[in-house]
Amino acid sequence: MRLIVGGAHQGKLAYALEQTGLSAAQVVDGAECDLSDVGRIALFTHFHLAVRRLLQAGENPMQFVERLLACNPDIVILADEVGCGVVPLSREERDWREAAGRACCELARRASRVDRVFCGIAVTIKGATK
Amino acid sequence: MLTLVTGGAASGKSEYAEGLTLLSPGRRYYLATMRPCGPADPEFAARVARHRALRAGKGFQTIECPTELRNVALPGGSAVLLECLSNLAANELFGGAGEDAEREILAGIDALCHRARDVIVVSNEIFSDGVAYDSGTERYLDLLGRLNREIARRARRVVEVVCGIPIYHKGGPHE
Repeated sequence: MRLIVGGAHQGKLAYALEQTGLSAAQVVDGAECDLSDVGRIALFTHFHLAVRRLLQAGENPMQFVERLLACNPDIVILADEVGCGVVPLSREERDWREAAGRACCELARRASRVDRVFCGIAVTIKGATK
Repeated sequence: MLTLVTGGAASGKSEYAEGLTLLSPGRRYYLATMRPCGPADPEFAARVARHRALRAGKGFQTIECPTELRNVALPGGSAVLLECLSNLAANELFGGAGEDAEREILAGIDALCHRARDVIVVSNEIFSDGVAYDSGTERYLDLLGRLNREIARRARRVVEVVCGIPIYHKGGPHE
């Protein structure tokens, strides 16, 4: 599994498609996909938004991560970094930010490689750069 | 040579970018993009005063450029500091070129690069707070993100300034 992180609008998806040779049609979008069906996913984008939807549905994001990785050991996961703002006033927003951040830490721990994209430029922050 | 300098608010990116501009042997121009919110906006005035004090005695000629970067006329071989892209983008999107803002601004950057010896563009890192904004603000974030990526692609050097410390994402200190 590979993880690609970065702020919003940094070019993570374009970088992932270029790196993997996958087409846009093969991208599963965590903002709107069926989160109960995690079979055969090559590239999963907006992971942070999937976390939000899972919390809203009363589900545990970590269990989702386990299902996702069990079915797709070679998956590429894209997530926005969402923790660099002021602590949100609403409990729901705080819980989401916390869950998204922790889930990304767990993904990064298990990933063979982690890239961070900044202004379209990727820096490998874990793993080989071959 | 084109350099993109970005960073968070009060990260020291302006001071760093000015330092870079001072290394250039050409005549120095400062393209100021900020547009006051009202006729007597004390916050704006204080911000401008701080930046002017930073530049004092460094030989910059200031050119006001809230929109229409493409029409700025500069002598060849000069050194240009554009500060900052985030204001220019907002001015063009909401009070200038509108939907054509990206194309207009990039055409302006290309024109600067054609004329000047060194072009230093200061932008702003505002993409990692996890906040879902209203559609107008999201359009602005999308525009600034695109501009940052396009300018980073064209640039020989891309620098993120954190607490006054430059982190080189592309190129290095001695380009």
